[in-house]
Amino acid sequence: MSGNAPDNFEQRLRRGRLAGPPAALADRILSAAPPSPPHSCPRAGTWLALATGLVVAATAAINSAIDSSGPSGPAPVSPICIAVQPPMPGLSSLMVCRPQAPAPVDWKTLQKERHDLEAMIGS
Amino acid sequence: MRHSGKTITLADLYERYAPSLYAYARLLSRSPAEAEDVVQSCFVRLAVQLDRLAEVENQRGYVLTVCRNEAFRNRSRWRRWWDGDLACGTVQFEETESGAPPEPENHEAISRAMTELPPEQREVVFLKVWQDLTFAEIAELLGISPNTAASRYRYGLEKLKGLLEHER
Repeated sequence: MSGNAPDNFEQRLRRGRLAGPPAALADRILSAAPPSPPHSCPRAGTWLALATGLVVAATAAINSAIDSSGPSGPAPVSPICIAVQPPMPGLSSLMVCRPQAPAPVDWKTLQKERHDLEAMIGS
Repeated sequence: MRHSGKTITLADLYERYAPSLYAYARLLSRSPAEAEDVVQSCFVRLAVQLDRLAEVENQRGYVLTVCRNEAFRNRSRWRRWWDGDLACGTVQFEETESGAPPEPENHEAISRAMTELPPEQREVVFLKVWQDLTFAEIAELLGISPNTAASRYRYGLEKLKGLLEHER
């Protein structure tokens, strides 16, 4: 093989169509047509808001949810959704939902999720 | 965001890059669920820097880099699964209605053979064959020289060919 020119074997490999993302992923990522207030998330219970490029963690709601369920009971929210509001025209907000948890989320998991999300967006 | 003189929405961006990002994330992830998380994280990052994206010359290379960084970040978040190899997945092909891979290539065999390649070769082969990147673009994405990219590709492709011939 020389340079960037594909050989026959490479061309044969290219014939395969790669599996695309599941439709549900598009829903998770793009379901936030503007305007998208927190209440529009059908599965949302907890929100983190990112406004004008800065992350503002809406910890009150999540803490309230954690407190109301207690350290041993299941948290009443799953999955966690975050609202992103990039400062740009044509897209006032973006809603991102975590995948549905297979089992009720306990308060420790919820706390960890929150920290992970904050770290992910804030880093 | 403007690209090629036309305003691009996040939906446009998703339509344009999600298939590539998902396929790349599958290569860099251990499971479809992990790959979905990586792609989602990508778009969260891309959404807050769409205006900056407009200035990027190689937009495709840029979003693939974001994907790779997110895969790294995702992996380091779950340290107990980290074994140092980022390209721990493989290529996944579309299935036909019957569930059988279409002729003439046995895609299942290709997926299997790809997992036999060393991760650094696997990633280069994937980026060259299925993402259609040049060696210069691959080199920039992976932080290696174009010669190293070409060399990894050559060895990877030879090994892949041998593995597939062995399967026949």
